[in-house]
Amino acid sequence: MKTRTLFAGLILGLFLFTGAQAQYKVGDVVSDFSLKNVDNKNVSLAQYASAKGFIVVFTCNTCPFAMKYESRVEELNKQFSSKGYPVIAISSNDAQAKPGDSFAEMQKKAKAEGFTFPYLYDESQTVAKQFGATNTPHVYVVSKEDGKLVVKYIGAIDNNADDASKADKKYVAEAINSLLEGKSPAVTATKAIGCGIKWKKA
Amino acid sequence: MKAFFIVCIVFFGSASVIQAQEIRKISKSELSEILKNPSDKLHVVNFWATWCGPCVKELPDFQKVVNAADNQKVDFLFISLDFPSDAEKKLVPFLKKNNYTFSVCLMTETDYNAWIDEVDQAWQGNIPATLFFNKARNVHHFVGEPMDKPQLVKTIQTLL
Repeated sequence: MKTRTLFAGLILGLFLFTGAQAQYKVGDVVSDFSLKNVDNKNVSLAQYASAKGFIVVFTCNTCPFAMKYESRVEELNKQFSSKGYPVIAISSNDAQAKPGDSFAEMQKKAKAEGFTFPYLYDESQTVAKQFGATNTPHVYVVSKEDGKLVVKYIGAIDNNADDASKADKKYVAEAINSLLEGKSPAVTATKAIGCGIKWKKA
Repeated sequence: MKAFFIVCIVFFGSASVIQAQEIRKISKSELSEILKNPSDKLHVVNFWATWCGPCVKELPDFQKVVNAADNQKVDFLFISLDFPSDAEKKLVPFLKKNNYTFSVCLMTETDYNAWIDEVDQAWQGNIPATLFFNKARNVHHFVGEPMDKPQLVKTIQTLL
C-alpha cells in the first residue's frame, strides 16, 4: 500500500512538475523583457535609466482580487515612482480564456481608471513564466545592484485584500522603504489568495 | 478535534434538509485542526470561492464524486475563501441555487500569509486548490489547479 502510494505520488508529482515553470526567487537577477503597453509602445526595464528598481505587478482586468487592489497599485506608483521605484503592471491572462482580459479591454481599463503606470500585455505569457508568477495580483520588487536587477521581495501588496484600511502589514511599501534606506526588506516573501493566472491551453 | 469535524459534517450533511441558513465559519486555528485530522481516511479539502470562475466550474464534478464516494474512506470539505462580508449575500444563495450538499466552511482569517503554508509549502495561494491527506498513512498530495471528474476520481483511487 505504502509503495503504491509513494509511486502514485511520484507520478502525480511528475505530472505537476511538467506544468511548473522556472521561477525567480529572492536574490535572483531579473532578465529584461519588452512588452506592448496599452499605448501600443513597447516597454522594457532598460528604458528606465534612472530607476533604482521596479514594482512589477502581475495583475489583470477581471480578477476580483486584482480589482480590489487596483487603487492600491495606483497609490504605490504615486508614492514610489518619484523615489525611483515605478510600478510596471503586466497582464498575462489568456484572452481566449478570459475575453475581459484582451488587449483592447486592458486599454479601456487603463483609460477609465487613469493608470499612471504602464499596463503591459504579456500575450505569449513568457514573462509570467520567466518570473514564476502564478496569481493576480502577484508582486515582485526588484532593485538595481551594480547594474543588475535583483529580486528583493515576492508576494502580496498587503495583508488585507478586502479592505485596504484594515491592512496592518503593507509588505510592498515596507520593502521599498527599507530599500530606500539602504537596508534589506524585513519580509522578503509572502503568499496570498488570488486568482490563478489563466494559462493558455497547451 | 474529531468532534469538531463530525459537527461540521453533521451540520452540513443536514444542510440540504434545513436549507443552509448559516455557514460554519472557521478561524486559522480551526483550519489547523482540520489539516491535522488524524483519522485514517482520505481527507479531500478544496479551497474555492464564488468569485473564482474555475472553482465554480469544477464544483459540479466534485459534487458527483462526493455523491459516489464511500464516506467511510473519503471525507470532503469545501473551504470557501469568499470575503466574510459576502457570505450571506453571495455564498449561501450560491450553494442553495446549485443544490450543493457537500460540507462547506467559510475561512474568516483573511491574513492569508498566516496560514497558506500550513496547507502546502508549494501553494502560492491561487485557487482552486485541493489538498488530499491521510495523516494515518502519511499521505499528502496537493493540486494547485482545477480538476475535472476523471482527474479527481483517479487521484482519489491512487491515494486510497
